[in-house]
Amino acid sequence: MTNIIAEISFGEVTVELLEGFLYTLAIFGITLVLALPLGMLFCFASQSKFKPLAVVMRVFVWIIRGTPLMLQIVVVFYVPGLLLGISGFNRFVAVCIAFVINYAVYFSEIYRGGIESIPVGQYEACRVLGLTKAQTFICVILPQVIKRIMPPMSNEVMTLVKDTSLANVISITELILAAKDIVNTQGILYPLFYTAVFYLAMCGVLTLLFRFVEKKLGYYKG
Amino acid sequence: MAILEVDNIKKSFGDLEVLKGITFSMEKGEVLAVIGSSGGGKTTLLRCLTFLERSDSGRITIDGEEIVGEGEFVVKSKKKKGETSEPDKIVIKSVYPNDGELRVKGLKMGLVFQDFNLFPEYSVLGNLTLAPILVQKKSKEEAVALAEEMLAKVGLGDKRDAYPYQLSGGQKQRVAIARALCMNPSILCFDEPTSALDPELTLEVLKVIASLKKQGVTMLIVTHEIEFAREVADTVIFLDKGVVLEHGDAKELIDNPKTERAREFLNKIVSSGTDTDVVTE
Repeated sequence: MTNIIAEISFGEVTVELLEGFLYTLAIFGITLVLALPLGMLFCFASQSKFKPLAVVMRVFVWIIRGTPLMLQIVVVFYVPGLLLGISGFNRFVAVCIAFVINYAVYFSEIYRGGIESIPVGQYEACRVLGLTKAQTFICVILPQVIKRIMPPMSNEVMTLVKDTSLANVISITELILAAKDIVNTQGILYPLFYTAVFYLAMCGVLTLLFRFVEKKLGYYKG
Repeated sequence: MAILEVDNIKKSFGDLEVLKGITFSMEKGEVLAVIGSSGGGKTTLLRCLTFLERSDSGRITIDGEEIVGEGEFVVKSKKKKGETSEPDKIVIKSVYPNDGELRVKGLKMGLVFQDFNLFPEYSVLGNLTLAPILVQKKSKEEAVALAEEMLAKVGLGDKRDAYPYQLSGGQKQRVAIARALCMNPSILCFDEPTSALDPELTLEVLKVIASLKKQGVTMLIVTHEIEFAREVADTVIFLDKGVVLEHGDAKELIDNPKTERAREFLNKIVSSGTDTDVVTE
């Protein structure tokens, strides 16, 4: 039997992991871009004066927050096929749908907390100055909400970086699965540890980014 | 002609009747102080007049234009089988214009809040120009010129670029007054404008209000500062348990209240009140 150890060089490992990392980045980026606005819609729905919508939304929030994201990915991927006989559902699309919904729900709860923390006096001041509801929200309330929700949002975004690894449950070759593949075929363990470098680098960049944004928003207090 | 006519305003929250039929009127240039103990309905009255709250019944006419009218509504009595049902009742309720119309017409009333409610993310200038630009569609230059004029009126010309957190309570309240003035209201209302301030800062706000009176601004002030009301207001309303107990010349009412209740209230306040004589010097 030939010695299979070190048949793959460090450079080759890095290239394979980078390919996996591209999937990680893609899931991260798509989720963020779609879940941020969708979360706002969910937030409005859960606070809607039309009671049935608010109730449905709250049940939905309970289901999404109450089940593992891994399970949600599996459900989105397999259930349409089982129920409707649709086959060949794209794996990557399924993962993105599950991530976007899951994160939109978490974001919506953060938005809700932020919006509810704004004193009612701000709305009343807008009211007596004649601002419309839309002007009040966009020009006065939202900027304050964004500042207030920065700390929980940065937490949630960091979590998203690491949650992307859950995509391997339906065989998306993201960073962790790419490393596992090398481990399984080459009999070496270090690529798995090596993945931490990628996650840490990404979270490091995000930390700096959030610090920058918080500093930008720090021009006022309150 | 009266600039403000309030006719039989009633307002309840659940079973609690807070305003039990308030009627009064104000002339242009008049300064009216509303006094009375807490829970008497002062703030609710002010909130109805600035349309933050809707009255159950009664009319509000500003500048000769009836903004809140009254109409008759039929309340169907509950019919039970086998019983002789009572006849349908006719009730009189306030009738408000639709939201958009009320928003525009409501601009005739300006309001300065007890706790300022400045927008923290905007500079002083931003606070003052936001509504003129968004609501009155003024150009930026026009709005800035107006804001600077109003800031000068409240003595804060040098604070245009400051943010609210950088200001003292008294300065915040003066900015709030300037912000309300920028919308050029027919009547400027104050909801206990100095209650959130310590005595020293109270004075600077009261001085601004006194100077506005000299410029002919019509003002309706809910206040605990009895001495200030006596000096600056033309007329005073003593509100107690949701009714106007007394309404008359400020000095006359405060020095010689006609009702026992007002006398009792004024004695308590004056013996513990802050000294604001300096205001009008």
